Parts: sequence; C-alpha cells; structure tokens
Amino acid sequence: MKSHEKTCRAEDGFQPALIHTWRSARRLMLVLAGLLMLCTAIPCPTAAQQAATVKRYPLRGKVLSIQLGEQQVTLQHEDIPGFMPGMTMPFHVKDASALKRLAPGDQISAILLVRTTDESYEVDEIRVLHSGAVGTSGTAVQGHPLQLGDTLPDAVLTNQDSKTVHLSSYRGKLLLVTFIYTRCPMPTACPMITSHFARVHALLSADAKLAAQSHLLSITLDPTYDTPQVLRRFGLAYLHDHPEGFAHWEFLRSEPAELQKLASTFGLEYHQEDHQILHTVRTLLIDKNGRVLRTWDGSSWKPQEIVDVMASAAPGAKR
Amino acid sequence: MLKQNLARICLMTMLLFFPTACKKQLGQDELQGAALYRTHCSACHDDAPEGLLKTPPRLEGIFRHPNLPDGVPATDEAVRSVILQGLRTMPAFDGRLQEQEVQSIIAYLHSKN
Repeated sequence: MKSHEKTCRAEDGFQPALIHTWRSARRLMLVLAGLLMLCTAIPCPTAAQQAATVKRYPLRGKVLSIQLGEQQVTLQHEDIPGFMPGMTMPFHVKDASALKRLAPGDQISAILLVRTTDESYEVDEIRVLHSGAVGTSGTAVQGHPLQLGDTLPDAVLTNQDSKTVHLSSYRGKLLLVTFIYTRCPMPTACPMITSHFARVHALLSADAKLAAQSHLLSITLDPTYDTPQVLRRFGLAYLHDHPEGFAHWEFLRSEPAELQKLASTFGLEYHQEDHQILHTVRTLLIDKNGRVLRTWDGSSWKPQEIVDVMASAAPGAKR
Repeated sequence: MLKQNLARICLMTMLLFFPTACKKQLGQDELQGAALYRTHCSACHDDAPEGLLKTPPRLEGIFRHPNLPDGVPATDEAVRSVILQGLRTMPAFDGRLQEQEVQSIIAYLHSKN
C-alpha cells in the first residue's frame, strides 16, 4: 500500500507537465485546423470561376506572316481598346486549322482571348475581311540573289568607326557576309547569327594565317537606327570589349536608299514596317576573287562548319 | 509564453498558407505588361535558344535584389533605360515600345517579384 502510494506520488510529480504538453499540442492542432478551414473558406477562384476570367477583346489587323509549326500568326493589328495599342506581333491561334485559310496580306477580324489567371492569350474566331498579299506595297523585297560563282558587285558602305569602305577592297580575302540589325528581338535570328559570327571570329583569330586571309562583315538592315555609334557599341558587346577585333570583323551600314538594292544582291527578303523588320537570314562566303563560294540560309549552321570551309580555301591554314 | 508561441505559429502559418491559397489576380496594367512581356521578352529571358553568346538572365524577382545583373541599382528607371536603350547584347526596344507599354512591363515585373 505504501509502495502504491509512493508510485502515485511519483506519477503525480510529472503528470502536470504531461497534461500541459498535451493541452498545448491540442491547442496548436485546433489552431492549425482552424486556419486550414479559414483558408478553404476564403473565396478563392474555383476552376469554374477561373474559366470565367477569360476576357474577350475584338481584334482587327493585317496578316504579315504565318508560322504553322508554332501555330502562330504575326499580325499588324489596330488598337485593342482596354488591352493594348496597335502594334505588330505574333499571336498563338487557338484553332490550328484556321491558319490554313489565311495568307499574308489578309485583313482579318478575330477575338483575342486573355486569361487573367495564367496571363496567356490567343486569337480565335478569325474571319478574313479582305484577302491580300504582302509585297504589293513596294516595301517587301524579292531579291535576285547571287548564285554560286557569281562575282560580288562593288558597294560603298560605312563601318562602325564611320569609315567609308568598298566591298571590292576585300578582294584577296575570304569574306564572310551576313545581315543583321541591332534591335532584332528574335533570338534565333540576328542575336544567334551574331553569336555564331563571334565564335567564327574567335576560331579564325586562333590561327594567324587563317585570320590574315579572312574578314567578316555584318551589315545592318536598319541603317536609320543603326548609326556607326550604335553599331560600334553592339559590336563591342560581341567582341568582349576588344576593339582591335574590328580589324577582322566590321559592322557596316549602307545609306537607307541603297539598302533594297544591296539586300536584293545578297538574296535577302525583308519587310519593314515602322520599327519592325521581318527578314530572312542568309550568310555568304565570298572567295578571294570576289566570287560566291558558298551560302547558308538560316542560323542553324555551326561556326566550326564555316571555319572548316574557310580553312580549306586558305593556303597554309591549319585543317 | 505559450500564448506568444501560439501567436507566432499562427502568424507563420498564415504567411505560409495565404499566398498559395489564393493566386494574385493581375490588374489591368500588369495584365497588359504580361502580354507585352510574352511578346517581347519571354523568347530570350525565359526560353533562350542554345547557342547565344550570352544567355539572357531570368527576370523573376529582379526587383528583389539591390542591383540589376549589370550592377546598377534595381530601380524602375534603370529597367526602363535597359528596355528602351538595350544593354550589351540585349536589343533596344526604343521606337517599338511606347512609354506606357514599358511602364506596364515594369508593373508586371514587380508582380513577379
């Protein structure tokens, strides 16, 4: 009996602590349960409500290009009241089959669907108001490109240091020429081509004999904005701030009035409206006699591939 | 003491649960900024293709840090200047974006903070 009483007393000694801990834990659980109920009770948007947050904006504009692979259409659209002012931009199209009924130059009306929940938008309910064709305005350029073996005609341009240069002055060197513009926002176009040129420049510079026999030119499609100062700043970013690199890789501009002729000569197609330039990407390798040795369309080529072609045409260069 | 601890736990739980429980709805300005961001910025800053000389930085939380990636203080004016004038390999959007559109993009970038 005494022993039992002693045990009880011993238990009594830490029972208050146990009870205290249990009560604290129970209170904590109650508070957490309450908070969870509060969170679920707050009127958060349900799936149905989220679907209801799609806003519809009437849209009118002109089709500039169609990208079937990306299910996109690039439109020059009028103001979209309450959403954005008129501009030229690509739009995802909800119904892919609608793209097959469109052609560049078409005037269309459509509905822009904007979801406030995930910030996405796309066009739907496209109707062709008037059919048309890009190029009839005279701003689109259909060139008669130089063919392999053709001799590059001379042209006068200005480089990033405001120095006048003649294309004919590069005779005796392997000349790699491409077209870019510094405000190009399409990463797979001018930024990619210029990145490739930076690597070609670095690879060629690593071989003194090859560097001495080669020269790179990036010619702007936006000579009004791309002044020599702008081109110099742009070039330095790709030359890692080494201005001596301009001796091997120049950034050129023509007079704006001369650009169409120059672009035609090089087989470029471009379409300029306001500050947006839609253009094809082409790189030409001119041999030491001024004849077209090779052309590359697009930007999917590898810098080493071009360097190998140049090395094979340069006596004494490492292979 | 117990009440203080409970209060702290309550506060922390609220902070943890509330942002995830309700996704913030964007205002008109931010919504326009989101559309412009997708059109003009996302292709480089979110989905840059392989092969670019310099991979453009991601812009979530750009205002959370004291400085922009180029080292200047992360202010609205500095971001506006980069958008309009370009920076290094980033193209300038001068002429392609109106002042109000730039401000919408900045508002959207703040909402992504």
